[in-house]
Amino acid sequence: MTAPLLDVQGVSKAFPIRRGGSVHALRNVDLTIGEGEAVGIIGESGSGKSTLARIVVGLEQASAGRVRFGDTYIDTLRPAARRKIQRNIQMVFQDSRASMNPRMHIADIVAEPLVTHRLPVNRSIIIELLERVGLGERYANLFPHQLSGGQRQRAAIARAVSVRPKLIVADEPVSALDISVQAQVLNLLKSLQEEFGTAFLFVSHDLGVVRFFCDRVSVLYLGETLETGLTQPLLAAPEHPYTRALASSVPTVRSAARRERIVLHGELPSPENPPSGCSFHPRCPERIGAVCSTVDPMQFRTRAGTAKCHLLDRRVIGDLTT
Amino acid sequence: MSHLFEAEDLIVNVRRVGNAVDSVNLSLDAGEMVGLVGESGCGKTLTAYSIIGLLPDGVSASGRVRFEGNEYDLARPNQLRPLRGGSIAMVSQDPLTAMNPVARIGSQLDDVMRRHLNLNRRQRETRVLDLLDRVGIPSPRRVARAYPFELSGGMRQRALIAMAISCQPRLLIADEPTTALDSTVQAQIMELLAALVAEDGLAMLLITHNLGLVAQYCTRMCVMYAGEVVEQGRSEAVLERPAHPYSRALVDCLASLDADVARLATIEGVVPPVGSGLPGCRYADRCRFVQPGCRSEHPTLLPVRDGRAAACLRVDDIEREVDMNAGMQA
Amino acid sequence: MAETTTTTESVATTAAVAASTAPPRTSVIGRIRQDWIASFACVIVLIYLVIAIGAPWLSPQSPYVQHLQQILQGPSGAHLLGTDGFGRDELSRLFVGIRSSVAIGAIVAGVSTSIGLLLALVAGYLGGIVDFLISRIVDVGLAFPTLVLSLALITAMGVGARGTAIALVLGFIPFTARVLRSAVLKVRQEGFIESAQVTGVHPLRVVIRHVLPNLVGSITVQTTLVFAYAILGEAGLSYVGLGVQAPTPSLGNMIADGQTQILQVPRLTIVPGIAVAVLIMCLLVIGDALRDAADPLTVR
Repeated sequence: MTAPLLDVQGVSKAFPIRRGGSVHALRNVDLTIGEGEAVGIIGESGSGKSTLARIVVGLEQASAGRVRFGDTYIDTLRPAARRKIQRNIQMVFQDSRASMNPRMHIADIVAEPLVTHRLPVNRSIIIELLERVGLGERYANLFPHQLSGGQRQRAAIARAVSVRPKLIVADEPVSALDISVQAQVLNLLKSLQEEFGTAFLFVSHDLGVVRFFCDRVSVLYLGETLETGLTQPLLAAPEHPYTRALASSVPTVRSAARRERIVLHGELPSPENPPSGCSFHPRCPERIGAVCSTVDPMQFRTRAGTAKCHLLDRRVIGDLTT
Repeated sequence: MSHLFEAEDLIVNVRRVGNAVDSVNLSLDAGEMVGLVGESGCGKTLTAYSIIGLLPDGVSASGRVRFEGNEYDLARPNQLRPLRGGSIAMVSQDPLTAMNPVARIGSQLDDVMRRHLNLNRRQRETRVLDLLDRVGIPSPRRVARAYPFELSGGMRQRALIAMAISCQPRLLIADEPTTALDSTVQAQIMELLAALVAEDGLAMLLITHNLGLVAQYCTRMCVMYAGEVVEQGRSEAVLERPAHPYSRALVDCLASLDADVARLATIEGVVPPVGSGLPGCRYADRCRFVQPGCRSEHPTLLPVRDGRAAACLRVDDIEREVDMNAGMQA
Repeated sequence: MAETTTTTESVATTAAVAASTAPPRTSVIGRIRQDWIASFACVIVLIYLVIAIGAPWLSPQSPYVQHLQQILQGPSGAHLLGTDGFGRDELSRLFVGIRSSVAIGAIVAGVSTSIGLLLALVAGYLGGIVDFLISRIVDVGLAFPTLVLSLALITAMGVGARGTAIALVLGFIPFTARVLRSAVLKVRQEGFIESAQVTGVHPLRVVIRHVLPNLVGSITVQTTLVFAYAILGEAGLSYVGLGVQAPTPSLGNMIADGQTQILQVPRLTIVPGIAVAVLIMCLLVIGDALRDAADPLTVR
């Protein structure tokens, strides 16, 4: 197999805090994305999913581990070289309004990556981009606040695809939008992905959105990857109890699609001192015993990919039954 | 039969702009959770705030409310003041802004009860702990002494719910109570609210854009579009076979996220701005069943099958068309 | 009760969203024009500026030529504001006095805001050790009483307009640097700065394209305020004889000159005094109005 486009190797991130100690936002996370592949990161707030996205685009530095893009380790690049690489790694933010300079016209905002990377840019190129994302020429000379949330996110997407990057990191790109607009924007992203063959790192808390958009998915909890694998089989039959709970907690409209609800107790423990053993054990409805609170589970193969849970360890299960 | 709560001909007017909510009728019975759904800007939050008489400057309401046998005029928000926080309580989306940041949870609860209940200090103290326990806070004593910022989002929302139910309200208005929360915490909070409705016989108006929550927790629902109720009825019936093209499209949007599809269902176009003064159906421009008549004649909420009501001139035609398509596919 | 009272703000935003035909955001100038006090202040300041620029041509007579036989005359057709103790035309001296004061104020405001801005951008954008060093130096500057500092500087550099201007510039830099640094820090946190960084935009370009344009409001406010305080500072220093030197009039030394005869001819003190007071007041009103207009939170 050829080298993946993005290879995140054992990345950890600890934020020092004022009263001493540190918050472990990410702990030894691996992630690969192939050319043109869409990989989803699912997690609740505090899971570290946004931190991972920010490390990939260079807004944060990893405390440990490496990040390779193509055949370059981008985590240790000097600023000038890193800026050059960014031509191939663009980002779509959750808050489109905040991500745009309020004093710039939409046309200039969309043109910025092209200008930055010294690519040809003129009015017709910008108009073409705007039209591609479903905005007409009349939006070119408007300011961001004059657009609706959905239109702004379209403009943000036009900005991201303008330089035809190999990877787009999208951090909750549709979670601020209304359901009908959300669907429009997701369809747009999907068609662009198919057209340009762009790879995506797609961060979301919404399983439905990830299911629609992503080929593979990683489930993050307290900065750890608990389960990874191909989206369809993983979400259809999650093997990690956390993924199961997460999937069941999404309310669905049609009664046919409804699963048995698993309501987790308690809340996300403090990432300042994560639980011993399996980090999910304090809330796990399927906890099997002392092993969960003492031993850190290994990664086990599943049908969809891998999961990090003692339930999957034949030895532990065997001990229990005998 | 008379309902616990009834709002009739509710209108919210934004000065110099127009009616953001137009002729809405709502009713709730004890022990039921009713969903009020719609996309942002459809007027659902303004509807809620007009009921408790809290509208910002430049926004005024009119209409009648009947509650526990008394009648109130929405145009006189002061009439509603004694109900607010007492018989009608509210839970908002963001507990952090709804709470006093420099007062401990316990004393905020105490404040509310002192205003509406006739209890001595000792009784109130016990009740604070009981309430925190009731909303599923694991260590009530500790939380009572905590400040809002010291709690997680889920705990804060629980504390806010404790505050809302502290004076034994009959009607609870929950405005997007779980939108700011993670889905596993959302499930916890919704279970708590559902328990309050089932066990304490509260009537609850759940304002949300999340149809999934309505499907799981609400017995009845109202779909709002551009300030009007376009469909209402038992939520199961509305969601399984929506009668109004707008609710149909909304459900399709959501349902396609559960199915494996190449493209999601969408609703093209945007909600007409407040005060557009469209003579006909406000959804006409986005409706795929639109006919010339839709743009001139304003549809009213009329009964359709399953005890529902929908505001669409073509309800029957659409029904037939969809049935025919379904038949052809089968 | 808690959950109901404090939520009106969110209703207000909802209403604004609901009323999606909300009036388009008017420009800063447009909003100043809605504020009639500020508009009035603008007109007054404009008049001052016209006088300051046009003083050599507007002055009916020479402000320097003494007519010792016409000393301390009351207002008349020949001398609209009368004459001073040397028989010089008071109106002409007022015009030229305004010219000196406004000139020094403008230079001080321009130079100290520019240097303050530069320091603020370097400190605020680079952060880290650079920010620490600049901030500490600024703190030291702030800890010194401005007046004492100015007095010391003028003593070192010699009295006169030039010395006054330099002393005031140095005195105001810490203030402008501090205010603008916090403005830079605020802009720095904005999502569009991160977005530009991810795009790969060069830091210098980020500063020029993204940070600076969003500081325009703060810079304008700061310049206006420093302008006002610099005129006040000039008046103070000239009053104690360290600023603009005779025979060149400035509002400060005119007050000082008039003061010797304040009981006999109060007009000589009152007129320049009022001139200073009105100008400062108008500038402060404009400064406040600009701040309100630039602050999106006060959008009506």
